[in-house]
Amino acid sequence: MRVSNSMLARISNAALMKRQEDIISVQSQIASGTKIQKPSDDPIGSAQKIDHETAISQLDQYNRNITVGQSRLESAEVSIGSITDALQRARELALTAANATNSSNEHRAMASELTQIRGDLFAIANGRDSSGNFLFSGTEIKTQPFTGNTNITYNGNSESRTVQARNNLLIETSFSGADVFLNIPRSTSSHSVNGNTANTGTAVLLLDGQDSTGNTTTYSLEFTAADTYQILNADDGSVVVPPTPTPASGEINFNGLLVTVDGQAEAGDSFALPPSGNQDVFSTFQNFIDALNSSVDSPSGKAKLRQAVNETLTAVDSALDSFNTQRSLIGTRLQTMDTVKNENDFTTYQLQESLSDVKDTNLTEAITRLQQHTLALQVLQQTTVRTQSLSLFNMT
Amino acid sequence: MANSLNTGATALIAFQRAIAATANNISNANTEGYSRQRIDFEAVSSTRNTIGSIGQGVRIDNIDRITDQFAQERLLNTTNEAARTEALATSSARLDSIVGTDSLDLSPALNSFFAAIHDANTSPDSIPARAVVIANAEQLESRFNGLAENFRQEDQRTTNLIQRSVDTINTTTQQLAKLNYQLNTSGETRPLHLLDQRDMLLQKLSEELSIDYNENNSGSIDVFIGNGASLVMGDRSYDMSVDIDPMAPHQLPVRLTIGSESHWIGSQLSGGRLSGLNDYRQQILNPAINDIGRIANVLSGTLNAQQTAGIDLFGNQGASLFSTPAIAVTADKDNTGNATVQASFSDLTLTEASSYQLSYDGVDYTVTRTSDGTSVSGTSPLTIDGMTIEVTNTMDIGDRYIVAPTQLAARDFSVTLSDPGALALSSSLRVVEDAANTTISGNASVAPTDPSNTEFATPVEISFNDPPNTYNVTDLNTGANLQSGVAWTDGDVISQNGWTVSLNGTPGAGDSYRIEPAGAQGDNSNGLTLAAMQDAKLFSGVQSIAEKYAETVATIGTRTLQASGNHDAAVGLNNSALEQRDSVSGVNLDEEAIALTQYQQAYQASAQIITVAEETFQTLMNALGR
Repeated sequence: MRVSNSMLARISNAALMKRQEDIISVQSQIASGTKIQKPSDDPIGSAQKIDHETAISQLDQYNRNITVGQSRLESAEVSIGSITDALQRARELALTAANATNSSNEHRAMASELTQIRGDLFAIANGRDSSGNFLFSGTEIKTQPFTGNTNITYNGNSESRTVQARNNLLIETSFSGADVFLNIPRSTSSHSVNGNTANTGTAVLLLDGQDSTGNTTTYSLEFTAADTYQILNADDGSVVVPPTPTPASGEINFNGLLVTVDGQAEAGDSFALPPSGNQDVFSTFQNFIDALNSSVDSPSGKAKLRQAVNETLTAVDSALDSFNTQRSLIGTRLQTMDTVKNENDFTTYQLQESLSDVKDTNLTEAITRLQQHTLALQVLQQTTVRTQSLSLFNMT
Repeated sequence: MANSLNTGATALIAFQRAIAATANNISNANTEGYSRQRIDFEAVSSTRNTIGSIGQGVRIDNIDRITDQFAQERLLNTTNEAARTEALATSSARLDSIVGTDSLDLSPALNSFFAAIHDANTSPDSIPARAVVIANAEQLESRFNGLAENFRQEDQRTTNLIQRSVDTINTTTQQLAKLNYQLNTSGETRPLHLLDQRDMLLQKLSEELSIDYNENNSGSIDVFIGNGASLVMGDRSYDMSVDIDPMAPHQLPVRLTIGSESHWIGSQLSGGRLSGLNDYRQQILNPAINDIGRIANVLSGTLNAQQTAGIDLFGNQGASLFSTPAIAVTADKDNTGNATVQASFSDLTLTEASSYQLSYDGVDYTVTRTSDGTSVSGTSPLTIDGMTIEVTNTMDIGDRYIVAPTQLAARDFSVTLSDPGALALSSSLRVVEDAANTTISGNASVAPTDPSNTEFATPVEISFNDPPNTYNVTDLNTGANLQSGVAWTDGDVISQNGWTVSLNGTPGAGDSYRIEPAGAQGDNSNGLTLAAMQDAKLFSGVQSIAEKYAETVATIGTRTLQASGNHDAAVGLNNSALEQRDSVSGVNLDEEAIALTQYQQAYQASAQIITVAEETFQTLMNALGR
């Protein structure tokens, strides 16, 4: 082909420009550390980059949510731990009180300790999280959940605050105070015993309601004579067991309930057997405190206290069960959060690896490329100078 | 002897001219468009004498302009395509770097906006956490607005470039007309440099648009476009002007004026820089504006709906977080009716990335989605894709309007909520299960469908009968029975007062549920739904906001890459055409050096002939004059 000078110049020029462009492109990839400076550098990569960055940002946020949720749950766990301690102490005091050698003065001292503990319990129930919000008022976080002295009112709601731990996983991080402190079964049995305060005998009624699940009738056990009892249905006044001599073992079996009479009743003594229902933890304490305060150093007084101690022990055990359930619920949630957090971290790690593959400059490869381009440019420059200087006019 | 002298003289003159022509070639070695010239020598016819015939020297037969018509044609075509792809590639590259600019990237702004909502959800009572949400919403606003402004500038720049291209076309056709006049009046000998100039002008013209031309005997040319409309006819040229046809916004906004008549010829133009610019606007810029506008609309529509379904920190029903954009309505210049057309959004989330045409057939109005031709007909107002179009007064038959819902969306995207407390993180209603319920489902949920219902916040009780396969709904304020003995099977949804309740599990006989206003400061349930919009597949049920945005960015990237690839290919072809042309018509200095030496030697030799003739004559004189 015939070659003209302008052609030669144009071709050299275009080649030089192209090489320089290559060098600038690699150089800016090295300088910025990213392969994708603009979408056209890698259209699919730039879409992946957005997707990955969004996912990473979300996972990061989920872990932040988890951290806040964990801190709130941990506060609740500590609170419930202290409550369990308080209940254990109440249990010890109840066992001590049951000991017949204690006098009413000692009972007063116990009552004052229990009053102190009940106060602490009240403070815990009204506790706040690290942001100063009430822990046990549902979502009414600015409202003090429990108010009142002897009769405690719950002012919160039954809603709960949740945090998002990952896509489609919401974990509750707040509690309804009503569920934690108020809705506690009074006993694990279907029924409880309330002795009449006017009782004069030393009889104490022990109850074991093994077969009475679902029985919601209130019964009344009355002694028509010192050794004769009858059982009435207190709801409608009907007779359940007509007057019957108290058996020597003291065991009375009716409607799936097993009642044991311990001690000697007097004619006219009576005991109510209402369905257990719920009893809030404050009332459990208050009832025991009241019983201790009204304790009298007489055989019948001691019997009444024993009856109260029995009821208290049942209620405290049931409350301990209930709080332990709450505590294990918190434990489960905390564990879930830990697991999810680890999973999130792992996914984040994988996404970051993949993101780095998509967008980060591979320095070794880029520098090699830069060297290749530089070399190519040098060669081109030298050959251009050579060919440009080749002219017959230079010979003459 | 006198013969030799004459012969020598013709040679001297011929070679002098040849040297001059070579010098001219050398001088123009770097002149663009110059075609090398070659001297054709011819032996002067001989005179016969008795011995035989001896030639009488040399003369210049012709000065030839070395060109190749095929190479020239190919150069015009490849120049045209190179210019088109260049306009497309450089413009796309600009848009590419706009969307690649960190400060305009929507993705991080979307991420931090939703992260801020999550943070606010973990402490819904915290004013600082809520303020961060508003600040991040404003950040989103500034990015949408920034993109919109850059898109607007790109559109303006494209119009300016089209104007510049049209100016170039007009100047070039005027020059061609002048050149035609000179060629037509120059008579027999065609001035070679004018032909070079003519070819250069043709090349310049075909950079701007595709042309057809016709060469006359004089070397003058007539230039046509498309269906045969003349741009240059003899010594006359016709001017183009830039004017947008509002009814055909996808066509090149160009008019051609011939005499007193002026027509839009956008549809007839193809190729060159002009169509490259239009391709850019139609295939890359406008889709990007529509896509980003749609993202803005769907985002603000979705979040507004969720926000208004909730309760803010002050216990009020939530207000819109983002404003509703205006809709651009353009009337055809030829409309004769006195109608006023107004378009407004009824549901931003249904926005499609398209423009719409409104027409009237004398009975019904018709709105047609231009992207795929889907249409809705009827009386005013018409509703299509979440947009209501209302015509007041009457349109005449044939009157047309263009409605563009996405055009102003990103520009108008703005945060209307300034008080952090006004963020509606709490749900507006809640279900409370009666404590005496025999079956505690724990999963009963209420969802607002129409928070504007006047009875929306009225507390209501849903109670199940015995057996629990029917239920009643009672207004707790008035005791009025709202629904009674309605049949219920598992999975049914109960609706009342602008909300729906779904129960998970089967209720027991006598179970009841209270629906009451919520709005506790620690309630974040509406906030959780707001945050969940980050993942929600809001676009045709398959793409989330970030995914749609990623697709938009990737599309721009792909098209830019494609445009730049096409441009590289076109430049390659153009270069090869240039090489081909240069190979034929370009000056090679070595070749000229040889020619120069050749002619110089011939000239010297011719001078020798004169010397010899003169010496021969002298010899004769000396012999005679003795």
